[in-house]
Amino acid sequence: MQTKRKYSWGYLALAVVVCGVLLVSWGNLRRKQRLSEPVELSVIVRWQSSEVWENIRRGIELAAQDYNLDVMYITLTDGNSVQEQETMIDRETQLDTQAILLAAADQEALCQTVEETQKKIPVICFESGTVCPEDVMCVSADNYAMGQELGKLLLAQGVEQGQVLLVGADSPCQSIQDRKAGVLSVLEDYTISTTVCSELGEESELTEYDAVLALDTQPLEDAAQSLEHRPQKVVLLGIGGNNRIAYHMEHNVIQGIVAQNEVGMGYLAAKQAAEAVRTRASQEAPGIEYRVITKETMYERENEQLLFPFC
Amino acid sequence: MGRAKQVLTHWLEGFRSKNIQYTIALAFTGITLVAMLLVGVVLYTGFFSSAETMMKENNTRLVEQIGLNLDMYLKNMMRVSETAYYRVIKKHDLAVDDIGEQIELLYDANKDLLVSIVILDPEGNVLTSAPAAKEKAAQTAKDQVWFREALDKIENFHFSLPHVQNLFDDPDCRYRWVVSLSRAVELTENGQVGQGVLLLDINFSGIEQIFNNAGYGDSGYAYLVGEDGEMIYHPRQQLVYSDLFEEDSLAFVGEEDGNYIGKVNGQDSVITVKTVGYTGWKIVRVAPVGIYSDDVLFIQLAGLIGVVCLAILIILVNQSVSTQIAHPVEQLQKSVEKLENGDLDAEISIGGSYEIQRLGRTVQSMAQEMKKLMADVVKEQESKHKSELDALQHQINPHFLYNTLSSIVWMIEKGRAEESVNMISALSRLFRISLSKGRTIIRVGDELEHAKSYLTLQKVRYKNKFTVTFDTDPEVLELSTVKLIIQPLLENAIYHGMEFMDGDGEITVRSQIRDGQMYIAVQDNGDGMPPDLCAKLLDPNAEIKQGKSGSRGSGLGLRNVHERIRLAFGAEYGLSIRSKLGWGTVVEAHLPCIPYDEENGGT
Repeated sequence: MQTKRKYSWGYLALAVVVCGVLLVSWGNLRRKQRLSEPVELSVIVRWQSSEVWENIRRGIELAAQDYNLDVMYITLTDGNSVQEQETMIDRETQLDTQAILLAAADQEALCQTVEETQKKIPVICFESGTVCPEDVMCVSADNYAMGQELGKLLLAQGVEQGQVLLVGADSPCQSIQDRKAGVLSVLEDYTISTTVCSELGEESELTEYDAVLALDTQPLEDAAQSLEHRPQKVVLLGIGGNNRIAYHMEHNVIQGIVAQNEVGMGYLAAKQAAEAVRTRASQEAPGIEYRVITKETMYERENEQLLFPFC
Repeated sequence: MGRAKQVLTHWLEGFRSKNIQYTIALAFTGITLVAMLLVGVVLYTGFFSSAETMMKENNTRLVEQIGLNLDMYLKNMMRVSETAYYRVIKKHDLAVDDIGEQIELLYDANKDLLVSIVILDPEGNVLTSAPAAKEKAAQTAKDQVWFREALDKIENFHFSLPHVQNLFDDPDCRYRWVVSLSRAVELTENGQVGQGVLLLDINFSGIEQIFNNAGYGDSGYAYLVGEDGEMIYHPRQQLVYSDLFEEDSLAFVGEEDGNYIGKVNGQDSVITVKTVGYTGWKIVRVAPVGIYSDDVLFIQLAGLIGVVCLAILIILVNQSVSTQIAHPVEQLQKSVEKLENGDLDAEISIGGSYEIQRLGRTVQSMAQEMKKLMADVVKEQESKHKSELDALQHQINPHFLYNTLSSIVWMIEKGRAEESVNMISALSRLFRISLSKGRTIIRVGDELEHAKSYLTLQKVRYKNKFTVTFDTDPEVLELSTVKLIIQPLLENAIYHGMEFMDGDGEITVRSQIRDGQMYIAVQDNGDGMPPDLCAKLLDPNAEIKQGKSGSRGSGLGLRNVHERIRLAFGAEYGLSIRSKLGWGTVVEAHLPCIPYDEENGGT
């Protein structure tokens, strides 16, 4: 009788072991299955043209390969439209996307939508974030520091007094506002007055300005195009980098730029989104590299790699 | 060492003390599991060994293929360069002939692979190029590595690291990554031979395609490093440049071609290195063991579950087998234990294998033999007891007969014929009851009748010196008693209590039931006995001396009665004596209340 009882305990122990092994196996297989399932990611940008953020897209696509992401890109019909971004965020949430990457068109106006959405799915900002009460991760270079570098670049061009036109600085984007603050923090010690405008048109009168600073890629491209054929030369500096900007820099239309690693930014933002979906753990926003590039240094190894990315 | 031996001994002793089923099951299971473990380890290591070998072979094949394609690609570029030099440049005087068209043709033939073909003078000025493009205003060919190396080592081809071509303006704002193949060439101008540089900018995407088309899919990757460890191509090139993907490009620069096992990005990997012929570049193929570790994990888990299930199955089978072997032995052991405890009627379990069945039958035969022997012994003992009982009864008859006959003889001598007849009649009744058809157990009524007959005889002999009172509970009359037990008590009372008494003797025979037991007491008012004598009377080992009174006997009659009662009904029954000097004696027989019938009368 005692032996039988002992065997019963043995069987029970074996059954427990088998159940344990099966549970662990099941959990492991389930975890692997979950990891192997693609994450549906919606990328909502604040630009109209896909060319402006081509390098960011390259980075996102690299991350999509590495982290098994199914990416939907959404551009706006009207650039920097808060309303359109809100509509897109709601629509994507309803379509059961698993995470949203957002280049926020407005640092404040989108707060309510972003915070409500974040309760359901991860929302990660890239390039331009928000200043919401609840912390929303933003993957971007230090925009304030980039603004400061732009200010220093202006000074290095010999412009230490006079009038400077800040193009695109009226945007409510967090990145633009931070860059503007950075520029102004450097220029405040000099007798330089600044004027803000949204864009530089073909007919814009520039005689009164000693320099033009474009705070974003699109305004910089537009400004370069506007100044390209003008006889009057104005110092043009800006934040942003792509082939067209490099071309204008080689042709002395743009004298210098501050460029961030947009490929890296796109890659890291998408990676953070994937990890947020899979691990549900909050993470710290990674830092993004930026460099000051002029015509003379654009073919230096690191600058070349940043300005003309592979992919 | 001593401690280990002690532990081992203790363990073995513990093992030996377990039952046979446990021992068999444990031994079978242990051996089977050890065998499974060994086989598992061998298969597991064999699997990994063969998987590693397969990976190495696969890596080698892939790297060989990439190397072959890359070598062909670069040789093709070198042939284009040779053609441009020997078929075009060398054959023409650049001051006289326009070689642009021929260079253009050569470019057109290879434009999928080339970005441009350029001939430069020693100052870095572009002499001819295809496709025709506007030279950059501030191009700095002279400062570039490919230009300097071509002029420094004029006999060689020089392959540069990938870089963005910056010789020509592209109105479409295209900046293309190229690998520059440069060499020094002799340029003839107005019959004067001077030096120049022939540059072929190889489209970097060509190299990229060679690697991408290698077909390794998700199973690792391959990259290309220069002689000094500079990264030329990597599938995650931009991430490597951005420090988002770590690759130690120097790790295998100094290594010979072949397979290596090492850690790359913290993962165990099989690394295969191959040097590309002319350039000295190295193709490094990295296949993390993790690329099949998912499967391995699954295999491990599946294997583990399989092993556990198999182990359970083996344990169950072993237990079943051990039960089949051990159960009959255990049953046989239990039967033997019952035999040991005296249960000779216990059923002997016969089952299991032939040997165990045979053993069971042998034990069964032994038990039967023992039972027979025991029965014989019991029979013998009973016979012995009966003999003893008969002998005890036979001890009474001559003793009493002698006394009675002496009285009758005395009466006849005195001429008391009528009294003699009465006595002989009483003696006749006495003997009738004594005989009782050979029964040893009779009714109490008969026994009292017998006592009365005896007293009739004794009263004559003792001239009515005493009176006898019978106080009988009617319920006792039909109960059973050993015959002739009251008469010796009366005899004792008369001989030892009445014979030397001065006054009238009184004897009371009291038969009653108390607490479900029957008691027949004979009480006299004689002199009584001292307590020590009283205690010795029923002790078979005690010797009794003659008392001062000179009374006869050594208690033999009382002991006979006591023994007979005990033999008939058990040791808890028998006589008890209470006596006090000057007061008298009570001898009481304690008997069970067993109703008398014809059937138990003989037992």
